[in-house]
Amino acid sequence: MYAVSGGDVAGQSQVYGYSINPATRALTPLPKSPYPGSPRGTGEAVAIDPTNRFAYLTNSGTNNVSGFAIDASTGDLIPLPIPTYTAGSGPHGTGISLSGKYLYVNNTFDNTISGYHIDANSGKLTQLSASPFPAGPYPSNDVAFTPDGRFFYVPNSNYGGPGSVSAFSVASQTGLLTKLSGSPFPAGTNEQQVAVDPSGQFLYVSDGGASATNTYGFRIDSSTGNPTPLPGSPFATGEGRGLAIDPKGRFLFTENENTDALSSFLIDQSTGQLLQVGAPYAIAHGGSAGIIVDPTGNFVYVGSFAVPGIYGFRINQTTGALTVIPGSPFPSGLVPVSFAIATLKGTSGLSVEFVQPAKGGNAGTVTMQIVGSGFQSGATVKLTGFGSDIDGSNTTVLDPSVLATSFDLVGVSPGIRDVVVTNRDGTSITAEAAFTIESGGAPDVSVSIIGPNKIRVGFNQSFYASFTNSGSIDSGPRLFWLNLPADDDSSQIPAADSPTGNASSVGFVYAMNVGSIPSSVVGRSQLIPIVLPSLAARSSYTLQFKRKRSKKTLSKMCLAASRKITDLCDEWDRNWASVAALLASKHPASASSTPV
Amino acid sequence: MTDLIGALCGLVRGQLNNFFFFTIAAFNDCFGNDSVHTALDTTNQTAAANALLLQELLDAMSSDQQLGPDTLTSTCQDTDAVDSLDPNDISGPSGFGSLRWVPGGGPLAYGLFFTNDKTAASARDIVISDPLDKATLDINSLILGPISVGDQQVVPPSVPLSALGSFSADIDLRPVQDLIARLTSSLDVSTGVLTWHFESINPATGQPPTDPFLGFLLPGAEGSVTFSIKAKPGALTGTKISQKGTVFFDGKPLDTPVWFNTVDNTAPVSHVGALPTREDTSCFRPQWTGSDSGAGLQNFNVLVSDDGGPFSAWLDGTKASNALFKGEAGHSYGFYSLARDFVGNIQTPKRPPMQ
Repeated sequence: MYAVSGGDVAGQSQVYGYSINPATRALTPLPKSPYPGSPRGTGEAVAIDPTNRFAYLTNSGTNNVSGFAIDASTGDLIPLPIPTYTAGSGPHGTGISLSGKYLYVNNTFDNTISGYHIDANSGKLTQLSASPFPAGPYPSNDVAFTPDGRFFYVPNSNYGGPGSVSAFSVASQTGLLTKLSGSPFPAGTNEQQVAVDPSGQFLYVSDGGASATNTYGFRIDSSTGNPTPLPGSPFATGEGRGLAIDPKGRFLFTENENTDALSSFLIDQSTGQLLQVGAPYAIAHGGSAGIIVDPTGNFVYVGSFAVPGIYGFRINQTTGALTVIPGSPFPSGLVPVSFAIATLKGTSGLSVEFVQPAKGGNAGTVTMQIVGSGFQSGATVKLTGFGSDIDGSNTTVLDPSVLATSFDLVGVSPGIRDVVVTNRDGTSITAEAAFTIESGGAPDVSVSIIGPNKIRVGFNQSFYASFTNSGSIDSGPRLFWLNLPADDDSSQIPAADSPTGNASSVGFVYAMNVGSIPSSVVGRSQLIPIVLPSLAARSSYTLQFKRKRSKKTLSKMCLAASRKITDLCDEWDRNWASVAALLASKHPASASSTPV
Repeated sequence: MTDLIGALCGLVRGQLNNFFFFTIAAFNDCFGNDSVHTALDTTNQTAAANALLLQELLDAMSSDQQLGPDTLTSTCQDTDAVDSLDPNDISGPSGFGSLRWVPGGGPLAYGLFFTNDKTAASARDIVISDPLDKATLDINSLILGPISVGDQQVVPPSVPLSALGSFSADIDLRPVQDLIARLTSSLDVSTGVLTWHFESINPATGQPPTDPFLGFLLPGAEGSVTFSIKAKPGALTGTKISQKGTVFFDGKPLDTPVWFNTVDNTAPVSHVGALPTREDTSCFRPQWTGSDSGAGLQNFNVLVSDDGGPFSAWLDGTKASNALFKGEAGHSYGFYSLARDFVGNIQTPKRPPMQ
């Protein structure tokens, strides 16, 4: 994590770097921290590009931007070959477009925004030809993008005059900003920070006016980007400085200078209304405006005017309530005003980006896919957090960046668990609160035929049978029937995986001569049995087949999960369950499908 | 005897959303027969029994009525064979009903189909582009599905494309054609544009063929690409998810039609109707009702508790709104219902039934 201190001696702008303990989330200063920016620069804000390779620091004292490369193994900041780039007057808030191509800087004192192109290889900044863009009045120390990157918002402090928020559209190919009609939009008296929720529906702006006690909420028009005040806005959240939303969009946090407190709010997902969670949490000399929720959404860090001045809290994922992280407050410079977090791969290269599915029921087995880096063959996975650890079985490293494992969750207590991956060499990584065990659950299997409804006479046409498990546990063996017209010239199903063959796919297809159930022609129908040994929770499997017809007639094809036809098929399911279970035991690598 | 008296006196234990309790107060025989739920003999399936079952199953399957698309667990599609058609198409989950309702939690599978005109030259370079709507779709959940060119097929790993970065494969068309179709598929996470790019490659040189008339997709041949993706978590019921691709045949763009689905993320609700606190017969008819916002109500599971015992299944997947129940005199029974909608959303009990 990186922090900018706004009150350091002689205005030397510098960035403080910290490692985040993966278990406790405590902050430890990096050995070479702090990293100098610009002499007398007075640091205001820091931004990190989406690849976590470059960091940029705004210097309001010297009207420029410092650029750094991030050492991927140590986290150290290394000045770029061209260390500073000219900005407008009083650069404060800064942000990088979702594409990572463009950097924007609020120039508070000349009411503009500087836009730069970021060289993807070197991190070098080149100011856009149309930059600076008119903005303000007094664009403040924060920026926010909508999740699709199409719109960009800047709070305007206006120093006691009517506050507002400016809105722009962003040209993804050129980075040009175009002010939206009606912008700036009125809001409060001294707007400080701005945040857009991950769904892109809501925009919140903190008001730092001396007598203000509010956060202004808006609904964003998804097509125009225009913000419209939410009913009930402004919300009484306390005098607003820092403002942050968790990555899942459930909680909003405000940092209040007058009351020296951090407040937590639930966001109503449909209305955007804010509901306070418990009492505010006291922070000595709080309200420095620095605030950030970590990428996992489990922790929030805030700055204060005291030294040490960075407080850390664990976020209860159900209620939004906060618990102080042991060791908090952590060492800092004077008045940390801006934070940014880079996710580095680490020296072992072992990392977890996300798991799928992120939740599963305790009524069965759940097969999980873990996406990250550095996974080694022989890696093990377990769920930890409370109660007994739950070991994953049939763990398979599909690729150094992906592994799959299955958890038997029957009877396990519901709740949030950490996912721990341990490599064969003993290195380990923990994805905190990455998986939620739900009560109950069931597979929910559906089928669909994907294909055109017109085919050309005499030509082969591909179709796909799609099998989906939307449920919260794996399906177990399932029998399906594909019913094709008997008067097709030909119908092709991919070569059947035989019980002794190379079962490399996630499902088996038994088109012919397996057990006692052949493909059969009855009347106008050709019936093809399809067995899937298992369909993982919240996953799908797609099977290609082809048809050719010479008759210019309408024909019907059907796909059915046998259990829904009649009780008769339930009986077949049971027969095939035993067959498929036997086959799955012989081909464990193919016994599960892959979560998506 | 005390228990019997207690049961006969039967107190209402309260109606709680979809739960209801009452007590049978008198003895009476039940002559109704509309709650048939025959258990199947599952012991020792023999080959002969299997053969019989197979014949029954085939009989059932051969009937269109049995396979009507009344639930997402069976689906049918009409296909028309014609001489000429729009060469590019898109298809997705058939869903339920005219709005193609789909559940919110599961992946949605799509296919884009392209055909080279039978009178055209071989296509050398084909790009399929699908701008995904990041407002409604979870880009990180996108997984590529099978990809086909002519008679060849490639199956990418079942891993989110955002984790893979991109997917590449060489599809060797020899000996039918002395060419390789080089595929690169990628997802621009900032814009949401998903792209498949097929190039014709000379296997001997590793470069595009110098003969301008050589191309990997022969006249009349077809190809297709597939993928699955989930709706954004928390997508509201009624959210429209639309897909429309563009196929560039040697640079010439041709749009596919639009395929849409509608998300149903709302579980249905139901409750058991009030019953008398005492019944004068051992045979009585509980009633239940429900509603759904979205795809619509499909059926109910109805559970029963005998004398305060644990609830167990009485009726599974019934479409009826009432049924005849035969109890025993002196027993107290409680019922509750769980509704299921046409995309598989199942009602969650608000809290365990009161005992």
